[in-house]
Amino acid sequence: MIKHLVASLARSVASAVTYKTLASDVRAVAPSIDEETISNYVRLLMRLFVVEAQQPWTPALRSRARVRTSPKLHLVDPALSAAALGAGVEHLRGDLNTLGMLFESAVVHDLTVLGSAMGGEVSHYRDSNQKEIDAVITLPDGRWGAVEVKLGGQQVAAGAQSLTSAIAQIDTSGVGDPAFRLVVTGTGPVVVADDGTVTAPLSALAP
Amino acid sequence: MSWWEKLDSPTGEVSIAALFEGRLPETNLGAAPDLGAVIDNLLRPGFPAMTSLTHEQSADRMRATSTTSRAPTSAASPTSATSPK
Repeated sequence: MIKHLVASLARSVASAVTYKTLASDVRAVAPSIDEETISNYVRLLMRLFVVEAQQPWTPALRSRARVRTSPKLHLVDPALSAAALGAGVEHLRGDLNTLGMLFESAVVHDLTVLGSAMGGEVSHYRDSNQKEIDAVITLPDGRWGAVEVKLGGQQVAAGAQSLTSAIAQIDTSGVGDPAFRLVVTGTGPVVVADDGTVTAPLSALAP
Repeated sequence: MSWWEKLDSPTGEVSIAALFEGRLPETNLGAAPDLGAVIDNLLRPGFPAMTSLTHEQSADRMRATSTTSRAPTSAASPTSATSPK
């Protein structure tokens, strides 16, 4: 049963999956399991450091949009997600959606590690206008940085536009402007755009 | 373990701490990895006991303790507006 739960979590990394969905998946092997039991198992996996929750960032907004408050769940290592899915090199080359999902989870993992050196925390932002920031790094002194994840280097412009659009929703009179805007790619170069948006591959990031 | 720690020769060109201090990196158009390198790093586990294993060896070990499910046909992520409790 736990194996099916881990596989279900792996299929849902980097998304705001619900216990209802997880329970539905696990009922294939445990027909009577309910959502509360699933939530208990997920909490257990969190205590065992197998699952990490990326909590929502909930700043005040300029508009009447509502901030979504669901956490995203990640397995602690993207390689574990790939193993749980039975996804090897050839599978991932042929399934860029899954590759992108695992890559986003890897980026969140690394930002959590790199940001922790400054006492930072990594959350995510999503609102009812479907604006989204894949990762928001917040420091104890209130500074924050906005990060968009794009697997391919050719998606950088879309990523930068998505960041600008999402940040425009946020009432910065309370939280201030972001200290930086960063698009993390898998296969892109290091570029600083005219508006200051930084693009970098995950392999170039450091504490 | 982060990619910065896993890579044999990390460039460390883009420091998160520096970005918070307003120091921007130099543009480097030659820094782009290829897709094969991305997949290779994704499949390389960060668990210390597994860092020297091949992809197949590490996947076998992790599957032994995680799941036996098959590869996905797509990334269809089951989501809905209902929040976990």
